Amino acid sequence: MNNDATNKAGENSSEKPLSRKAFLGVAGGAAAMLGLGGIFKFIGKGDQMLRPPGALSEEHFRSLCIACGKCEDICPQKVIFPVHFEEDPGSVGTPRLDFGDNYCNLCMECTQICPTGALAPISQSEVRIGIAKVLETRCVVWLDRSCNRCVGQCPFRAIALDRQNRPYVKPELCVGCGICEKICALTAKKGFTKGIVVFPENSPELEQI
Amino acid sequence: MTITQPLQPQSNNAEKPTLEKRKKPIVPIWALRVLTAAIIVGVVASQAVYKSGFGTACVFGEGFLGFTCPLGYLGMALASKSWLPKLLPGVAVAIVLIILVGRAFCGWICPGSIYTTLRNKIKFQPLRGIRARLGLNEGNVVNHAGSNNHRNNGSLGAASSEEKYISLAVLVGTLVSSYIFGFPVFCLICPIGLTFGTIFAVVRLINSSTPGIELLIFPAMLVIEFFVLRKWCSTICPLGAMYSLFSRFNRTFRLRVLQTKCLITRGVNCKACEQVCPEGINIGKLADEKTGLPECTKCLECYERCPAKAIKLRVL
Repeated sequence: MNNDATNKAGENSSEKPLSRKAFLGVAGGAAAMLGLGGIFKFIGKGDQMLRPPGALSEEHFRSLCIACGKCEDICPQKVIFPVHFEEDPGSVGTPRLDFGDNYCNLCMECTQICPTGALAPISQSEVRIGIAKVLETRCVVWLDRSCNRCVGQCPFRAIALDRQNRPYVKPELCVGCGICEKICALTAKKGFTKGIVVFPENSPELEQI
Repeated sequence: MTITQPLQPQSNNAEKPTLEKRKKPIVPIWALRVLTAAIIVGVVASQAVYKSGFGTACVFGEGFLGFTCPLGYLGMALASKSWLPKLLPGVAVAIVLIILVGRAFCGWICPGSIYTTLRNKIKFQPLRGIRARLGLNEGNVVNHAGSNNHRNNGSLGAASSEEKYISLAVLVGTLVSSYIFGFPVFCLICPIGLTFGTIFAVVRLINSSTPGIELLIFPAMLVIEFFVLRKWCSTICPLGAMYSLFSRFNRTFRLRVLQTKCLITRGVNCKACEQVCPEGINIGKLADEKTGLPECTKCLECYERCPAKAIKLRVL
């Protein structure tokens, strides 16, 4: 009984300084969280990702996206995929577009369902997912064959032909819907690699133009 | 785990306490808890299969009919340096729920309760040798100074009174980190998110056969959190620490001790409630206090195991 009484007294007077172990735990816990944030920030390369329509600037998007996966679920075209851990550990689970099998039809459902506002509810005309680029080393037309299937498919007439009838993208018209990339991927399955790819707006690939 | 240690009445005790014979419950409460949490996990998993746009349990519903993880909200608000008014009603709902039912979320809904409960049942202790070297095993736990309390608080993962500060430090650390680095940091290692992330990765593997390395990494992180760091819930989890801050005001659905029945008031050094409590609370000793027991996760283990049936759940 006496023991219990002293124990209770000890519990109530919590003004005592922390023991060494507890202090290490407190410092270690806080430091671990700071370190975790720093490491994932440092190794992050999220700005190379093609985000869904309405996505804020990568920095702002990352601060609001909690990787809930709602946009991925709602997408009728099934072009939204979560980022894999090996692609970018810091933004694992956040949405990224892949136009290998389908394209974005600008239905804007994902911008409506996003609970945190990481995808802003913008109108169709404001969408700018990325910009398509004809890869001159891969496009079969640039390699002296005929194709040009992407030109007729572009709903924004953003793909034009140069004097040698080779396709090129007018960046000011392209919204990055990926329909050209999808068509090209279909063709490319017959033994070629994709000749036109949508890149994020600030991608270094685009600056080479 | 020695739950029903033979009760040792003090040598010069006048009367021997008579104990009512307890029937073994048909469904033990730990099984009910695991079942409840598993149903929630199952509902979210089925939503993922049918692509309903439910998402995870972090944010669902809208306005005052919704729920927003308060820690996720704070992480996002600090990271984006804005108030996010769209999410505030959901946070208010969460806080009202915590004040109404305390940390029942931790005991009954969080998938972490599945892992800790099953872990305590199967007594699975990986990396025992390494853990012993780091002083993480039971028996090495430093209780508050001057205590000769020999409770076996390592096996259930209960924190000593000092170690509770660690989860607060982790909470402050994750919020500061979110503010500095600009993304909700804890969400990356949140066991709830990792559980749903694993399920989503499996669903994706089955649906579209796109495996990612997270299929291995997420479960591995869960094993580290719940089987290597055995005190995750009581000592480290910043979500639990945050819930404790609000459940301080919890006055409904509280466990109370009938002092007329409690063996401690009859002079027995009984620690049955403390030994089964995942948070290490000795509710018997606190019987006469008007405390809200902020750490109590309403797991009802003490209610079920009290040899004197002295613990009751009082709605008001």
